Amino acid sequence: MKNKEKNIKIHGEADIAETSFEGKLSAETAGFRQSEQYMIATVISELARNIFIYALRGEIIIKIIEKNNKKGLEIIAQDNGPGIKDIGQAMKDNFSTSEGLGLGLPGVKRIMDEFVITTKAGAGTKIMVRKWV
Amino acid sequence: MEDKISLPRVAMHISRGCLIVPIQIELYDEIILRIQKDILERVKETGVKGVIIDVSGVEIIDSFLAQVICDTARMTYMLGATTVLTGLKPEVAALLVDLDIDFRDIQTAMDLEAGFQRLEPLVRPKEEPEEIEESEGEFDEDQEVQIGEDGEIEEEDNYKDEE
Repeated sequence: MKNKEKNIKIHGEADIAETSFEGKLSAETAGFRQSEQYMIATVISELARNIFIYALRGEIIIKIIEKNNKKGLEIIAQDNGPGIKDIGQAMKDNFSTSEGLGLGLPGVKRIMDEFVITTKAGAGTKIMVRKWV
Repeated sequence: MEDKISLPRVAMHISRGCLIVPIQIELYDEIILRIQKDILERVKETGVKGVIIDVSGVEIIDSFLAQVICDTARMTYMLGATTVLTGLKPEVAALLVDLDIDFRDIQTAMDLEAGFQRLEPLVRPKEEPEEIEESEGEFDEDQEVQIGEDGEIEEEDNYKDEE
């Protein structure tokens, strides 16, 4: 299938909207309901924004996945930025280090079915989330 | 570059004393910042006391967009106008809460009509007092006499009468 995997580089603010839009299209292709498509698009927007705010550049990979006849969407957000020092704190509700913008990782985790984060201070961040139809 | 030229604009209009900003397009950073600028300019030009930002056509609101909308409300307030956000979709509201995105410093109402009702007390008082002043000069004297014998201002009676 065409467009099963998309790799979008985040270099500037304009890339955030584009990534979110591409995510919505992939979610539609994967068979998500419309309200879920928008939800996924919002999550992608937040992940892309985190990259832009904290690491300046990075990439988002959007993949349609399949397991046991179930379709889903996998989103990987990765950067080589400063990493997250205290992951425990970042996963606490209401935590943000940048004036109420960005992060929102607990929310992303709540909304998606799977959430894996790999990060180390000084060594970038990789977040993988999945949502099944 | 070409984006700047073709950036969609939101058609704002004034109705019942409020600046109405109906957003029927998906928002992204550049557009919402443009809308913010336009709102502030229109508030300054027209001197409206109320602004209604209607987002009933918006499906995606992320933390940045929410932040800009709240900032706009605070900015209009400094210019003397109160902003009410109307038409948030239930799914969007649920997602905003899930993502811990806050709409601080901004009033919300279900729809445009509810938004008007919320702003009416701020917008309406304009007309009536002006007409009275213009009618005859004698009113000035009358107003001074309206202070009661015990020195209290008679206006207080009006509040009691409201029941």
